Amino acid sequence: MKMYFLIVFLFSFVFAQDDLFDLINDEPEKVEYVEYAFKGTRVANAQSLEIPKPKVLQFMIQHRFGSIENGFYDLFGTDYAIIRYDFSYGFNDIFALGLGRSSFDKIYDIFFKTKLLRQSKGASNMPVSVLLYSDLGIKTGRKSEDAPALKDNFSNRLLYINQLIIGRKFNRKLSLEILPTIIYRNLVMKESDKHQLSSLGFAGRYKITNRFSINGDYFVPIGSRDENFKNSFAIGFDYETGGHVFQVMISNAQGPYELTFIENANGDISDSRLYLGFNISRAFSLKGKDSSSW
Amino acid sequence: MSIVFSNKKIFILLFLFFSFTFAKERYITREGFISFFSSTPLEDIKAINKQVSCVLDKSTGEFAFQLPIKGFTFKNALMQEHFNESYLESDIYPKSVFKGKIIDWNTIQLSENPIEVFIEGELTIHGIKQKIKEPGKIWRSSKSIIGESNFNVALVDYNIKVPKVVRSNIAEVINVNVSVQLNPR
Repeated sequence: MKMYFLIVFLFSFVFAQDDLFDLINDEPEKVEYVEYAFKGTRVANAQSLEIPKPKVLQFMIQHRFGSIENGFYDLFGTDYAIIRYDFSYGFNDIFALGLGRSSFDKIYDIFFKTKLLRQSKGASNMPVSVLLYSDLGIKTGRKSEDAPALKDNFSNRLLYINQLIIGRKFNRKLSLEILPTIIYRNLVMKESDKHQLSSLGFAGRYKITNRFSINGDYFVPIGSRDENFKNSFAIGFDYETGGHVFQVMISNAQGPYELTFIENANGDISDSRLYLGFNISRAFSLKGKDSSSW
Repeated sequence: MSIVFSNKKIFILLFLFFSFTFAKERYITREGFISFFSSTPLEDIKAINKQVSCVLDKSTGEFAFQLPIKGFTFKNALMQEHFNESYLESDIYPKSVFKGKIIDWNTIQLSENPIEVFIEGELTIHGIKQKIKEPGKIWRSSKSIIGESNFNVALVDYNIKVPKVVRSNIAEVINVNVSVQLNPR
């Protein structure tokens, strides 16, 4: 008898503890995509795991100064600059299309960046995100001694970049990615140059505060290159203000376009041929006022 | 032995009966609506969340809210990112909850006309719990009970820090609007 009282007592206790929250806590688990692995669409030079948000037009300026080797004479290279800027538009959560232009080699490029896999947790667990970045570049320079064949045929002006971006946001601070890359050039300068160049990139960010992070990227060639080849690296930081992401970096490559930084890095720490640069991006929301969610 | 057995039966019956009556008194929704509004001369910011869960115990007037912070959608995707990443830190504090009661519940007679009530309880945002007492309205519509409330939340009370550069764009006090239609569980 005592036992029953005890059990009932216990039950009523459990019952009294039956919180109102229990009734709304039993929701089925949903798929939760892991978002915001990086603040910008680029880590420093390399592509990040982000694309412009849906219905957002992003304008990005990638500005690179001259080499810092002359010190104050040209204020650490700031007398010179090469620049690339692009517009890219996020159609939805997984696809963005863009147009860019680099001053170096006067390259126009059209590209898309799409999420093939999205890192998620909850009802469906996906440990990594995988993106494809695909870019068609058009060199629009005049025929020169360096490239006498450039004008012979339009296809000589073309180059193709295909890159997978495989990465993971490990926690709120740390995100890492690897970037298998193939660049194909229709026209090469020397007969010994290869048309197709493969490489593997590594990139990551570590958040120091909510608005500040340290970023870096590094590319290793796969296959042989000529003896002057340097592995490209960049290290920098992100600073986020209201509508901008501001990225400052130092790199041994001056050009901010994939072809120019992965394959044409020429600087070295030992002779302080390094380049300061910054990316600044501005997002314009093109969502109409009468959008369905409003 | 047989006496003990029947006692047991009674207990179980009583228990079942109680849980049955309790279950009948609860009104619930998982599709409640919360929006907030920040207004400054420079910028108006609005976000809405349609993933609000709410439960009301009609016998006692006690009720609870729960909502995922990531459920807030903004017109500007970048604002949504900043809201989650920098202000509400939704990866650390994924939910906001409220638990409280309607004051003088036993004197309130629900009808189809909205009745002004006061609600009192503990609101948790950004991991910080604050006691609040705010006005609201409640009424009945066929089978449902409908509740609404509009109140202000001061960011400083919940340790939500706004950096100086955007201080003129984000109000210090945010207007919150809550609307739920509860159905019998």
